Amino acid sequence: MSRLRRFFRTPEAIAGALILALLVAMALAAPLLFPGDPQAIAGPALRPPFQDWSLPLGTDRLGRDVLAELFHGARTSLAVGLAAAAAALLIGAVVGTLAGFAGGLIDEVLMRITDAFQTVPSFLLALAFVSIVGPSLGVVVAAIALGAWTGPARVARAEVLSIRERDYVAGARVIGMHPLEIAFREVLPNALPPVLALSSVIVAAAILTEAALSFLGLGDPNRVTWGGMIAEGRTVLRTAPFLSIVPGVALVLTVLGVYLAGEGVVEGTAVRRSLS
Amino acid sequence: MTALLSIRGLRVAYRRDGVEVAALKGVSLEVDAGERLAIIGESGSGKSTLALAVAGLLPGSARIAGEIEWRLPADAGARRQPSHPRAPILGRDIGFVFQDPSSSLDPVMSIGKQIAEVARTHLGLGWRDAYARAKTLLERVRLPNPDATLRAYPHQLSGGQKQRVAIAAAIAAGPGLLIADEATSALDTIVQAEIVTLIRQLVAEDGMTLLFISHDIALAATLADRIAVLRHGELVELGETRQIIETPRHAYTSSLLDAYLGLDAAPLLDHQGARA
Amino acid sequence: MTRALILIRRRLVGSIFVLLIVIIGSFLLLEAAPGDAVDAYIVSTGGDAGMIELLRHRWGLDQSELTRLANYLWALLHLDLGQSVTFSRPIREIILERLPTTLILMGSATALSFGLGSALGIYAGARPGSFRDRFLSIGSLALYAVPGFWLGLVLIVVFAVDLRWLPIGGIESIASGKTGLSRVADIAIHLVLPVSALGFIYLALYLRMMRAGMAEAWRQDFVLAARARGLSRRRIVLAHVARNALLPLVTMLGLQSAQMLGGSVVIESVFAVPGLGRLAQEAVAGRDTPLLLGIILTSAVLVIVINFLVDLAYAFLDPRVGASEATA
Repeated sequence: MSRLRRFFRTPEAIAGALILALLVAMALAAPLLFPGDPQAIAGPALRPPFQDWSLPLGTDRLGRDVLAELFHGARTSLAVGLAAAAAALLIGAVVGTLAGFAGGLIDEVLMRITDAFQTVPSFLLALAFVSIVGPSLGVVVAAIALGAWTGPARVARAEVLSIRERDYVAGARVIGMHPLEIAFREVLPNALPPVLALSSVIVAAAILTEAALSFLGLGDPNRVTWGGMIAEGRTVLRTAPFLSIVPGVALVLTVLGVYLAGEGVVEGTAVRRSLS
Repeated sequence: MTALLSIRGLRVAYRRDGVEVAALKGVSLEVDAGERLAIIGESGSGKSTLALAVAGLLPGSARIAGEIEWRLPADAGARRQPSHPRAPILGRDIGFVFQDPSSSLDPVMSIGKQIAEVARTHLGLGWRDAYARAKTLLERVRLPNPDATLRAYPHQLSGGQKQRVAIAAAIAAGPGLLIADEATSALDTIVQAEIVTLIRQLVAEDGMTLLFISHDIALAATLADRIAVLRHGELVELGETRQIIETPRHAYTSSLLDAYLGLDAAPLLDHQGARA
Repeated sequence: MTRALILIRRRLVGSIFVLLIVIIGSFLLLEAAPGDAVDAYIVSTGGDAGMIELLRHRWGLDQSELTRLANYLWALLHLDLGQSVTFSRPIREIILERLPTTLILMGSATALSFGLGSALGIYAGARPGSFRDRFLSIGSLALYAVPGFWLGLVLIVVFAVDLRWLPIGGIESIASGKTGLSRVADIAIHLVLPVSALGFIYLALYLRMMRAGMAEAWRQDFVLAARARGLSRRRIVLAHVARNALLPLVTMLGLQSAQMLGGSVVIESVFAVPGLGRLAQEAVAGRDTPLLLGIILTSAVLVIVINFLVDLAYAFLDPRVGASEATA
């Protein structure tokens, strides 16, 4: 429990946690508060916000309820953000551990592959991947993970390189444990903390990348996305700018919340390190 | 002999994670102008704290009580006589040499520049004159190839050479007081003796007052007129060097002397037939 | 000079490997795309089964995968990136046309983000914990959370639509026939908003890095030693602390180039700037996989070159780099 208290030390962490809680609530409550298809027509087109209380944020170009779209969009952003980050962390941790533990040629090859993935701009890679395979939620998650795994991989490898010299690893070798088993049962769990420290940054980047992909029309067409909403609002930018501005504000607040919460976690663990 | 510096009842406490740790618990002593005073103690004795307090380099979070009174000579050629005793200016009146030569120099700035900037700041010299002065100083501290050294960077020098540079920078503006805080502790034994010799020469040449802080009472004895012994933040003994070494009055001083093994001490082990 | 040569040699070998992996990866992606160049060609031009087979044979698409890979590599060696489906022109030509615009955009945005970002970072880091430090810290975090394309739209709404100070998009006024200095000025005006949008996002990054770097540098012992030598606070901040904190930022410049290329895709789309990024979006819209992969390859080369230049700059700034090898 003290760890939680440490996390809440800074006002930034509290703000971040609050924002994230709000976001999760929005995502979970969406089908309850706004049942039915959010992309269905709910009223007259281009109704301004704060005029009709059944349509608090107004309607878009086709008459869809903006508030409903906002809530449902939260689901997509959250789902993609978390899934892509989890995938990137998993792939990165595995690759990094293999490279760091095996050493030699395997390490060289894996590191060159990592270099290659870092050399190609991750957004272009995601663009190409979604364009070729086809836009759906799973593909978008995979596309983002393809660009994001390199960071965790390098961190994991660096950790493993220092861990593998330690006594308990030598001990496991003496017992006769298979190297792969040692790598994934002894070494990887201890290499995880710095890798997990990257998670908030990766989640934030994933949310932003998903928004950009949706903005360019590469999001899942069956789902409401904030990026898609912004793209739609672009056509009526002069007359109804709020259609593009509102989902953007939602994005900023969400990503900000992720960053702040992430920094709060880092602060909490950093304090612990300095005390010990 | 006029007292340059009067310390009365000096108390210093550090705040660490909410807890106050007392480093000095009421130390009083006087330093005469032109004398060489050694301050001896083990780790935790507060000797470095005393040095930093005298120089005014304690961190802002430190709590200081007591008095430090200065009687500085008026500036030669000053247009006005100060109406009240002035406070010492770091670099100009006090030169400070730190323990670790590797970390007291900026790694990305050339040696010459680091010495020259001190001369520029306090003596109002232009860069060209400041560099000339730096070269003279490098010669005074017996560094070979002063021209090359001016352009060199800290990582290209050995520990002893770096410490000579640090000393040169400390005396660049011609201070009246030189504080050497464990200036030899991070160096090899032979280099230690060289640096002590150098300090003795420079102090004599410039008529500086010397505060030599060390844990090595024997080393200090080769250099100092008087020795002050600190233990757990308190002044335990203070006297002429000869008297302290030959007839220590306090038990702690005796134990410090006993712990020192000189080459003229009787061998502890009889090596007849035994091979190490 | 020897330090630089050692770096060059080492980098060159590594980069070739990386490029090879990128090329093979691109080839695999090309293969994974449904339909091939002939299918795309037929869609726009029409033809029967016999024609399809003829074209397949002519273009070597009926051969084994390995042979096709070899052909692909051979073509690349001659800097032949193939033919674009949507534009029916050599890809190399199109890319070279669009490349300078993107380079200008990226270069200006980098200058803005790095210059202004580090300056503000120094300003914040000069007094850690002060009000301006915390303000800039939170502010930069909020800025970093802003999606680039959304910032672009907001800037358009405010400056182009409402205030009408700046043009909405494009790189220059169409058919104005301007030349020389007035043309440069025209392009510059058009670039203000896109450069701002692209630059402000990454400004936050450099600001935070500089701030963190300054906080780290303040803790270094040589800062205490500098104070002990009586140097003015201003000199310590600028000549010592900032100079040391700058080094990791220079490394970041190289790493950021890849991200900024990605960012230019959306920015160029929003502002209708005819650069490489916009070309990528057009390639996606037109399902022009060869063009898209050509852009990816070009980007990879660009990133490698930029990283290399940055490393050279870093070696110049940090006298400790390569020292052990150069003196050997």
